[in-house]
Amino acid sequence: MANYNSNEFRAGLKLILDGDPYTIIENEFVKPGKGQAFNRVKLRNLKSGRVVDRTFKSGESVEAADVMDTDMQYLYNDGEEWHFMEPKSYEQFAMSKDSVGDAVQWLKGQEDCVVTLLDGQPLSVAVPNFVELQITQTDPGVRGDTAQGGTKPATLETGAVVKVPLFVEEGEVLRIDTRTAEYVSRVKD
Amino acid sequence: MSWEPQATLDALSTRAEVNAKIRAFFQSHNVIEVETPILNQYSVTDLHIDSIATDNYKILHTSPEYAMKRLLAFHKCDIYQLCKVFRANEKSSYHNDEFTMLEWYRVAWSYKDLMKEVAELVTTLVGNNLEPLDVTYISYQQIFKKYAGIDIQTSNQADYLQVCGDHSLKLNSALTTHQYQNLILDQIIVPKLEKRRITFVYDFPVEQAALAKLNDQGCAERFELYFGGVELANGFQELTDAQEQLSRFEEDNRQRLLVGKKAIEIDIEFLLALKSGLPESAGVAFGIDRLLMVMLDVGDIKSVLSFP
Repeated sequence: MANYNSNEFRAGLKLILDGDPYTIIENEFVKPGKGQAFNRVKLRNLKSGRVVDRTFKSGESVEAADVMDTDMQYLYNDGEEWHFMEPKSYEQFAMSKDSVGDAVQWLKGQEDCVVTLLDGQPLSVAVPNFVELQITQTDPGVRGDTAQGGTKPATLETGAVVKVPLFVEEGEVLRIDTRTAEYVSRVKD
Repeated sequence: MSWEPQATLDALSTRAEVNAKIRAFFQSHNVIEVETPILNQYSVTDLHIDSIATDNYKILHTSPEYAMKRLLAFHKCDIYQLCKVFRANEKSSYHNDEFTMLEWYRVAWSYKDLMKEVAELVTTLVGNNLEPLDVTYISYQQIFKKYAGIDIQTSNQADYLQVCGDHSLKLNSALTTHQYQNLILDQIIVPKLEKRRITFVYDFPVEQAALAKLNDQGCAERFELYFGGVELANGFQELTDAQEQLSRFEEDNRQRLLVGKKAIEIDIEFLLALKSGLPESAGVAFGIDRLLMVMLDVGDIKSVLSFP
């Protein structure tokens, strides 16, 4: 079992705290002139995404998280699990809905994702920043409203609902920024 | 890779001005400037200070304290030194592994007199006549009462943990009383101090005596200076008892071994100097880079170093 000494702390380092994997966001070294030094650290829980503060004694040793970010292709979901494939080895990984989290609403099939593995098991998935999805339902836009830049809700083929401009119509394919869940543009065939 | 310096011309000139004013200050106060070796055979035993060794078995000094006290023991006169010192593994916005220290000793002075002279120097360096700097002298015990609501005489670890919790300091593991005190002073109390006021904290717990004399009330006659939200200086009523000094070194080494550090070869020349008779004196070490940070109102020590 590998360990990190707090002297090695830096942003991006991955640790196990209270049984959960965390990544360091910020590490501040504090030291009185003649006293114990400390590391004041901001960490993100890789499972819940929650950010916590923790103070370590300088020199303290912490268990390293065996975490690897791996490029994988999303294949399909079988209703219970979401399946991904490592394209070089063809090895497949299944993830529960909880682990996939918000990414669910952008996954149609064949997206190139980054799956984070902890001890070889999938922990979380990051979808591409931009995806292209077709509108399955939206109300017809009202003529003349385009100038005001109004928006309306549109349901996409994955089930996600995003705000779109009034001129966009059912059946069109849209480019969506998955980080903000916002409409970017129409995609012309 | 960048060849360009970090410090602005303003920062460089402020440093030059501060150096000139320091030398003028001590000349007018009849304190002699001295130089002691940067490369030394011995180093400090301090648990929390690690030195940097060269590959010819010499050690870069972490402070000029021992050598200056050897001068003091022999010549028995007031001396100061403005020099670079080196400490391993110290990098942060307030730390650099190489930094500039001003250290001076006053023969036959008490640490309380020396605090006044430190305040006078800070006022000379940063103050102006229109806006004189206020000075507060507060004991270690009082400052914990006032800003952390805790009595260090009666409190236990649970009380310290509570104070940390109240200030959203979540600890990864339990600390000793001494470690809690370090953390609370540095992270909870100091941020509450008025920035434009010179604050001296004096009379430290015995466990934090370092090279300070103990008094009859069971306190170490040591002080620290806070200004602009940072610790700028640390001073002592200097320990003159060679036997007591030796036992503190040995205790340091015991502590070092306990945390898995190497024991440090004790500086016998320094002990012999103490044995021959160090005059009663007060001494202080003052961080020049941090003073410049406060004067230039910058948050990172790199801004005052030409090539950090």
